[in-house]
Amino acid sequence: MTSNGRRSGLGLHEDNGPLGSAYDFGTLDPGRLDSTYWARFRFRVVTKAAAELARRREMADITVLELAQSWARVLVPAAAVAAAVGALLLSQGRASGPLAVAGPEEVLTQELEDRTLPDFMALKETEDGAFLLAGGTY
Amino acid sequence: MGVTEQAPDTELVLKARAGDGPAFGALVDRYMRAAYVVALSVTGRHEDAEDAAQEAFMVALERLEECRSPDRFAGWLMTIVRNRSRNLVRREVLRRTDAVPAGAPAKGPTPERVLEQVELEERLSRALGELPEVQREVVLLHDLEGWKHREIAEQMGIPSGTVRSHLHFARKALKKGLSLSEHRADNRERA
Repeated sequence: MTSNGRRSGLGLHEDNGPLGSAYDFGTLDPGRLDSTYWARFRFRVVTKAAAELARRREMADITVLELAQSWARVLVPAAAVAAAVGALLLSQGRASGPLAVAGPEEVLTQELEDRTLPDFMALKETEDGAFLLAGGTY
Repeated sequence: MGVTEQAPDTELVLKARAGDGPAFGALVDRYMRAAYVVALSVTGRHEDAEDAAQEAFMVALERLEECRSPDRFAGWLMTIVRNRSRNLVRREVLRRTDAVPAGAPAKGPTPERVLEQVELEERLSRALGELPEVQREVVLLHDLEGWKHREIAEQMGIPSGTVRSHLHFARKALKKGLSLSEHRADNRERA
């Protein structure tokens, strides 16, 4: 009995056995008296394995398909929503005219009056609209 | 020899995982004899060894994802073979039947030749049966299947020196057992 070109029987290996050729282990090889034994053995195993192999092939196909579908399920609606929101924003922007772009310095000073602290302190309570709205006292 | 037959175990295992029939067939080709030998070393009976080896291939295919190192497929497979064989032996203990001679011929050899083969096989099987399981496996893989010490060591997960030691003691015990068996047979013939 051999595999991958290996040789069988005592006396053929790297260290010879002490048992003698009369007790060749080849007698235990079921293929010794039946030359088709191993071919039949292989055939039985491969035949029994056919269903499992087919299931694995199917699983591999399904996995690829499902992966593509799962990406599509998430990405397509998200892209559609993003596109709709983008279109809406663009159309609103155009309707109200060109957007005014402010620089960082302008943003920091916007809506600040050119008042100094002494000016602010000199204001009368009745002249400070914000104070009147808050209803507080200094 | 095709590309599949020459491919390393890793490649065959990965292909078989994806359901590649020729790749699985190549693995069966490569290891069916070793699987049978390992099963025989545990069960001691041809029919049981055949069943266990075939079952082991099916189990291995179903659990291929559990083979974390595909380059060590042989060792992993032989572990399954051993476990299946032990399970079979346990079951057989419960429903022991008479053994049928292994390798019954379909045609070809003469009845005398068959008888001689069967006698030799019985003697050898008896002598092998006296060995510890590990020694039986080592001696069968080496002397019947032609595996090298290093290959057996890798497959069994033991040092190469231990394999040599098992082989030495197995052969010594076999020689003794076979001599006794021959001596008894001679005595019976004289009587």
